[in-house]
Amino acid sequence: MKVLNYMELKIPSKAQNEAFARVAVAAFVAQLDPTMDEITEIKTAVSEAVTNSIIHAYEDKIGEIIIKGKIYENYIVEIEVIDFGKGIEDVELARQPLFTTKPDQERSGMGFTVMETFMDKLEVLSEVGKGTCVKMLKAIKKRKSEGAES
Amino acid sequence: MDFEAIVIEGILILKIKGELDQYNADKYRLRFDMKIVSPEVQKVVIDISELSFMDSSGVGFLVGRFKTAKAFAKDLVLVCNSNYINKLLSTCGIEKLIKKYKTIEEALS
Repeated sequence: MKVLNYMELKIPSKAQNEAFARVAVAAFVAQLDPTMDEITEIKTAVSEAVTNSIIHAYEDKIGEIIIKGKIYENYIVEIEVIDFGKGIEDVELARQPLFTTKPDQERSGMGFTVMETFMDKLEVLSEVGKGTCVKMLKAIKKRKSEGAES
Repeated sequence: MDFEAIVIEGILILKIKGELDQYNADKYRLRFDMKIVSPEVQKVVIDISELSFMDSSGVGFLVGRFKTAKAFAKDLVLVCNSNYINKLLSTCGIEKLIKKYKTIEEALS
């Protein structure tokens, strides 16, 4: 697939950056003229991935989060959220609905499930002690606007 | 995030506006609980119809407030008419736990 456009964002893992990250990604995706529902679903998935990096990957310290966005031909959006935190021991287990390592903190354990529901494809690569990369794909329904082709 | 709180005949109505994510959940958790446990309150209605954004941290926040209300033997219900938030709530299975209404009037009846 041909890449038509891309972006990269580097932020410290501070909770106040969650809103910034999802709004920045939404602004990048806006060039495809998505529906409000599509934009909100992408924002939610980004928010979930960034929250995971802040709460789980870096816990009590501040680390770096890299967010990459790519727009491929045929209105395909790819978002990667990368951290260099503690990593996930068992990715399959972490992706199960309601699984959380922090039940005492009102975590719903639904982050990965929400990402899977709101995006079309979700891939999680993680190595203990090195970090995690969450890669998500979403196909935007083609509308009248041809903005993505230029 | 911003909220309005009014008590009418023992019913606390908490209307949340703006964005409910982990950052705001951490900021407002205690303030909401203080209002919920107040002795003049018998029932709690949380109106999330005007939220522009919520993620699973917001769901965790609502479940947390439901548990606070339950611990003090008070009912807590939600008001929501946003398709997107309803999809999120249904993905997280919240309907099995907390009653949901489309309007404040329905929740109060």
